[in-house]
Amino acid sequence: MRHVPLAALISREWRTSWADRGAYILRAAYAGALLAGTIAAWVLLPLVGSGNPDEYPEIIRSGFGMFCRGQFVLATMLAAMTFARAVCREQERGTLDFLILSPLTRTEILVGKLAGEFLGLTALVASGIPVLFLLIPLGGVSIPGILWLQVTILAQVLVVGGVCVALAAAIGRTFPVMLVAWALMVVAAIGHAVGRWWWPKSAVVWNLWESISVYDTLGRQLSRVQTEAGPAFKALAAAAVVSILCCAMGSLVLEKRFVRGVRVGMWSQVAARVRRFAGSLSGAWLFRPLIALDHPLVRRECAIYRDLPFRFCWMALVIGYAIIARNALHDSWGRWGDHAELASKGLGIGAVLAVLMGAITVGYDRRRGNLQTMLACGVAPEDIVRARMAGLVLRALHLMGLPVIHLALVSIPAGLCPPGEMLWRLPAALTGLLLGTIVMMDFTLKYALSFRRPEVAGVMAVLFALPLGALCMGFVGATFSTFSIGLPLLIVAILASGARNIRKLPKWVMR
Amino acid sequence: MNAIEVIGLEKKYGKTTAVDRLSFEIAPGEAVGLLGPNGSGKTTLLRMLATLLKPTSGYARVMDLDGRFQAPKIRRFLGFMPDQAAMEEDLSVEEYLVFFASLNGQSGAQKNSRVKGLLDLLDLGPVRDRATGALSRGMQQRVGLARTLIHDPAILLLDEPAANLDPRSRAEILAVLRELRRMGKTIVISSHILPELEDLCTRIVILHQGKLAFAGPLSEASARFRTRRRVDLRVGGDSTKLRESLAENTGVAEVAGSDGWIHITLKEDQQDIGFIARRAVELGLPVLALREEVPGLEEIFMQLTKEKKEP
Repeated sequence: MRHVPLAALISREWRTSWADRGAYILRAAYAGALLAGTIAAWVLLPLVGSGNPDEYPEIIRSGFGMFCRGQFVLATMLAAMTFARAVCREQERGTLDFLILSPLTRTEILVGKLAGEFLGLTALVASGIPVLFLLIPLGGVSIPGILWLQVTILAQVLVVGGVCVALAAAIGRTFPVMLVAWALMVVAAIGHAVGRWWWPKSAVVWNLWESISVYDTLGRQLSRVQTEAGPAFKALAAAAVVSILCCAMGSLVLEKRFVRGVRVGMWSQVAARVRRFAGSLSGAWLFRPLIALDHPLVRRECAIYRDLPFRFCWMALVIGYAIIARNALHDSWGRWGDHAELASKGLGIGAVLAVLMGAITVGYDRRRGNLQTMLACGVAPEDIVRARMAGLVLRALHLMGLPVIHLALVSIPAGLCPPGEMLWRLPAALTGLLLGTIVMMDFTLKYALSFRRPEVAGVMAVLFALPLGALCMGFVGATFSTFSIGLPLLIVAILASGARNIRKLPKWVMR
Repeated sequence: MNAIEVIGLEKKYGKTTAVDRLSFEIAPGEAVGLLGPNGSGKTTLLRMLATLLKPTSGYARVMDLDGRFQAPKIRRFLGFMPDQAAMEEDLSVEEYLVFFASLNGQSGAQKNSRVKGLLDLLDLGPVRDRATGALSRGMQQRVGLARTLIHDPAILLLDEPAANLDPRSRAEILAVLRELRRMGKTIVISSHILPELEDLCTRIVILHQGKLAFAGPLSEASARFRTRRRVDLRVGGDSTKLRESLAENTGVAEVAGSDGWIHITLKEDQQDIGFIARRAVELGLPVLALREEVPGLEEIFMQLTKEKKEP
């Protein structure tokens, strides 16, 4: 009768995560976005290239390939968020006790949760497949082609799920699990390429790695004229094995971590040491705030030397940036274009981290009731919003500062800024950057305060706040006329948006 | 066979000892109150008994099964209710109970009748379709108790089941617990609301700083911690002379009065209380009532924890 409890667990996962209104809206939104894309393909195809219908299949094929890669990245992000939350939420709520007390083994508990969430994500992916079939009359894609590529993406979802479940059993907190899972997936996708370049002698290892990587399987499928079922199902079977192994590993960790009770782990000890160091005079200079801090709330938010996850993130970013710069550019100091590319990528990563961490920290603060307590204690909403904004912008500037300085230094030799225009373009670009950052963090704050789940707010911020910030940055820094128009417009928009956040804060927080 | 047998149970978190070599027994069908100040190790002890936490040393036997090696079997006999109302916020009350019934291998008619029975027992019928997350704290506690009972466990481990509840909800939960005790369940209940435990429990286990301060029947605790006996007397007419007379008696430590009652505290070596009634009769006062105050759980608890605080 073991199937009864396991089926009950899977069914509960489905009901609580994928059968509510939000999940239906998500599936509808996904299918709607695909439908919009498909209609756009039908309408715009005659306008692309020479307009020759013989070229349509090639254009559709290449567009579908780009869509699949994008879908792969989004599926990875969403899967990490979903699976991490599924296991961590049980621990945070205390409901894991009841599952452990049930006749299910720990591995079965993790497998049940994995299967339930995987079903939900499969339903999400499946909801878009009929829409994709509308592309078939245009040529370039076929029914099996679409199906096998979607199966490959599901294989990636399953791998991410397994990894997240194991990590969640070990770490127990949603956000760190998501971050580590994303980092591992990036390593899995590009690790063999970096390894091949770094240490070409171990070609066997890198070849093996490449052959089992789901991302490379997707790439190989896309490069073929006719997509094959074999590799897709092999990837799915391998993913199933990996995920079950991860569940088994996770159950061992869960046993160790959960049943043996709370322990002062290595991380806590290191954190305590770093916190002590950061409070000292010699340590505080690293994160000294740049602005006058009058209000106690602003002081609290800007005391980033107390924000340990941010600090580790910043250190990792700076060290990683330095290592990549050292290794990638040591033999090409003359190629300024490479510097500009590295700085742009660093800027992008810094912005993503700033937005994600900002949304999740503010979101969790709201969920824990800290903001509600402040309002109840008589703190003015404007003080809360201003303090939060100051903290978010300060963190964003720290995370994006190094690449920005690098970019500013190489902008003239790399040809990004003609020497004659340097006098206005450089200040305009820096102003654009500042305003863009403020816009980005303003939207991040809005999402973090208004969305029920901090992880969803994080994803929304990455999808919308980040491009909007980049757009503002580019608009203000592009030409002299856009600068002169954009500067007052953006300032007014930022003030209006801030006022809206202040007005809405009690409603968002008190619900 | 004991329902629970604790043998040298110890739990350490780093250098902190949460539970320090406890040993006691609980017979089947007993209702045992687990008392102790905050941080005395009650929750840790309950979690170890529930096989959710591994002891550092020692072990517990539940229904003659060894907690170290037979945890899955032990869990079939146990219903554990933690101190926080941990809920699946998105499920309705009925779905929630059906889920836990299925999780325990029940299916079909057995599951439905069990869920219906519990909804009736805990008066959850009117809220069966409401999401558990939208219920009041009292209702959530009831749902939690229903979940604990879903597989009809022989032993209930309840960690502060009546905490943060209003007096009516508390009384209702206690009425259910009394009913369960009548049904022959073994109940181990940790609580800070002592008068209610006194009403429910036959035995108490008192922890202090992780150590066992007392384990035994409530009557034994009353006898052991009765340092000074107090007798309350009510007489007809003016009691001034009687009070003066009693105050002069060598066996009396203190005489006080309020609302027509005379409260007499006897010295430790004074065993006989008959002299009080005799003295009243000698003075021609009719004795309306004479009762001996037995120290309550609260008094015992205060005395134990006070004793331990003072070196």
